[in-house]
Amino acid sequence: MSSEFSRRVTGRIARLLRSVANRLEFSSTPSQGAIAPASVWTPPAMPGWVAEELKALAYIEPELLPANDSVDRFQFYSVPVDSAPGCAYRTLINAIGAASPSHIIMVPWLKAGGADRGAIYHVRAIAEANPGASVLVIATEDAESPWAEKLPPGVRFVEFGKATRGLDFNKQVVVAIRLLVQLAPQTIHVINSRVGWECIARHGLALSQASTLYASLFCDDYTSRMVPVGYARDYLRTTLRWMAQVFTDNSEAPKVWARDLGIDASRFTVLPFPYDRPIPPLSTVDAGASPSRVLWAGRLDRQKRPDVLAAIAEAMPDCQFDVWGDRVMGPADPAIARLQALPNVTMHGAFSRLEDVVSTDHFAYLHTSAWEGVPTILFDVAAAGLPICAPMVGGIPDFCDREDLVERFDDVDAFRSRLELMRSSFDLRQSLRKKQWDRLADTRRWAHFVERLASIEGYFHRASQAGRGGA
Amino acid sequence: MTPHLSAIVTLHNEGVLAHTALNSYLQSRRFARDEGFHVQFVFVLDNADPQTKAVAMSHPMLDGSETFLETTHGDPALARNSGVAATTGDYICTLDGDDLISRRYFTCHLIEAARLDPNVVLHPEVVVSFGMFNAFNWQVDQAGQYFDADSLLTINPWIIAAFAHRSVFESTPYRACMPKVSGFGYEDWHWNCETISRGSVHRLAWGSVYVYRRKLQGSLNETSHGLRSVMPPTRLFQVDSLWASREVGHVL
Repeated sequence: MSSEFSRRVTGRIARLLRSVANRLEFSSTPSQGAIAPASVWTPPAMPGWVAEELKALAYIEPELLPANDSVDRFQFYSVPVDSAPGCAYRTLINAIGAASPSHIIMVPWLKAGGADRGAIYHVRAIAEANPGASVLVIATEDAESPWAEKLPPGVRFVEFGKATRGLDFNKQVVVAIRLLVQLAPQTIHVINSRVGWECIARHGLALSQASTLYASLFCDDYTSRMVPVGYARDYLRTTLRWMAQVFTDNSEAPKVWARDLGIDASRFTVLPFPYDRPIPPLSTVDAGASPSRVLWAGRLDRQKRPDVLAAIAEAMPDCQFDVWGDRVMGPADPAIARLQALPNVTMHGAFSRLEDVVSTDHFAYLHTSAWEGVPTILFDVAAAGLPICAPMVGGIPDFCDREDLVERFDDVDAFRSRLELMRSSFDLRQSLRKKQWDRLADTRRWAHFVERLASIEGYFHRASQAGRGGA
Repeated sequence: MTPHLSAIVTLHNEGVLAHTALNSYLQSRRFARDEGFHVQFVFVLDNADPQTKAVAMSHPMLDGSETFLETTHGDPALARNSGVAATTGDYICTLDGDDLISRRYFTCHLIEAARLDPNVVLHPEVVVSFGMFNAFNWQVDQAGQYFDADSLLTINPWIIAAFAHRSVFESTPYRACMPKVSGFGYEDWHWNCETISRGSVHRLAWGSVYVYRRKLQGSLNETSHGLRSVMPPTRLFQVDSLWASREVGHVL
């Protein structure tokens, strides 16, 4: 029993020491300031010859051995050794190769999503406007990036999140910082990458010595208690001073951050995302037809309020709803279960492009959401010639006239009334189709996007800074 | 006579603590002289406050052979580089203005250097920290089993005190960091990385002790850390460096 007790005590002390050492490793000065992870072995005592030196020096320095002649107060420590960040860094730098990137875009991943689309637009624009640019996209989360294949040829893509799997967030940031410092690109652009934001928050001054720093923000997220959260709130106040520009895809978000955080709204550049396909002529529709179905297509998550969708469908039992999209929420979620139980709702599952799921049987595209930037799917809807029924949230009024929107995102009656009106009025549908198409053609052309970016000094190229940085 | 060793001591605002540092350094010079070594001192007063300057320049153990250099760099890297330019010794070592060293510190370094490749950099074998915390550690020998090359990315294994042939200091000057202005810091860590990238191996001067005063505030490393500085780019971590291209577990 006593040996078991002794073993437990020893183990407990070792764990405690390890925990203290791990905390000290990054809170102390990197040069000699930290205590190495302890283990169960007995720390070595100070060698006699070192003790003799200290006793000799005590005649010179009174603080060295105050009060008594003992060296017992000097505990052994060792500099912590951690190979993992260096090892991950070497993997990454070798994967990136010798050619220095002119532009680094930091994203969490590249998969289906509006911000991912936006990131790819930026990369395409850089590659188009500056054929000499060397673009490196760094995906910082440990996740798949199926949309990496959409990047233009010649753009390098590095899966940082996978290479740093197993490292804690702090060490991931250490590795990322070293990459950014060593590669010293002319442009660093952070798009929804927490590692990227943290790099700028910690070392924005150093990074700005060789690189011009940009970020893209879209809108706040909200907690279940509807408290606004997100990168803007986490990082804008500490990083804005290092940023050349912060891009947003909508005009509403900067007003919110100016109001809530006191951020200077003039530091934002509203950069409307383009429609990434040729805009087809508006198709003609049969005035005598009576389309009876509603199309809903998006990601079934909390933001898109499937509960509101279910309530609208419930309020319109004579109308069929085609619901397309990946389910982020599980089947047990009450809103999903409710949708699945409704006889007038067909849950189709995932879709690739809107054109694949829209039909002449649809009289409206219904968009439900509690918060938004400017959802790019609305561009697809406009191009497909389907009238939009959406709430007046976030940046949606940048694309749809306010009088065509439902004022509150959870006003089921207002959605029902609006949809009924759209179903019954061919003229209203035609008018909406025309307005949406014109807005798409006028404000969402690819050339506009590239021109707007070209007007941002230094984004495509920073000639005066070329060759700066690097070792 | 060409000195065997030039010791560069950088001083800024150490005040009266410089007195004990010089007591220790000049004692070590006496021990070296007793064993036949000629040690030159170059004191670099970089934006030194009046008290520090007075304490250093009026130290009773000075014998008139020392060089005092007043600079206005406001940066320890540039101060050390100025010190290097003022030295004439075959070997050079760097010391801070408020620490202490063992009695045979210079002798141990010179003896070890004589039997090693001239491209080697030496650090004291043992570091004793006192003040804010009290501890001792063995420094790591780059050619030994405890050295981990990958950890150079996250940690500086050696303290500021370095010893090398003057050609090493001349070919690899310290890089000015100016943490408050540039966000970069840790000029000694950077120098260590740069010298390794140029083929130097960091070894130990066996039998030497560096006694490192850990102040509550005011050290440059603490400034770098407090400002969340980051080491400047170094050729050691470039893609084509020996460090980056070696296989896992391979020593440098």
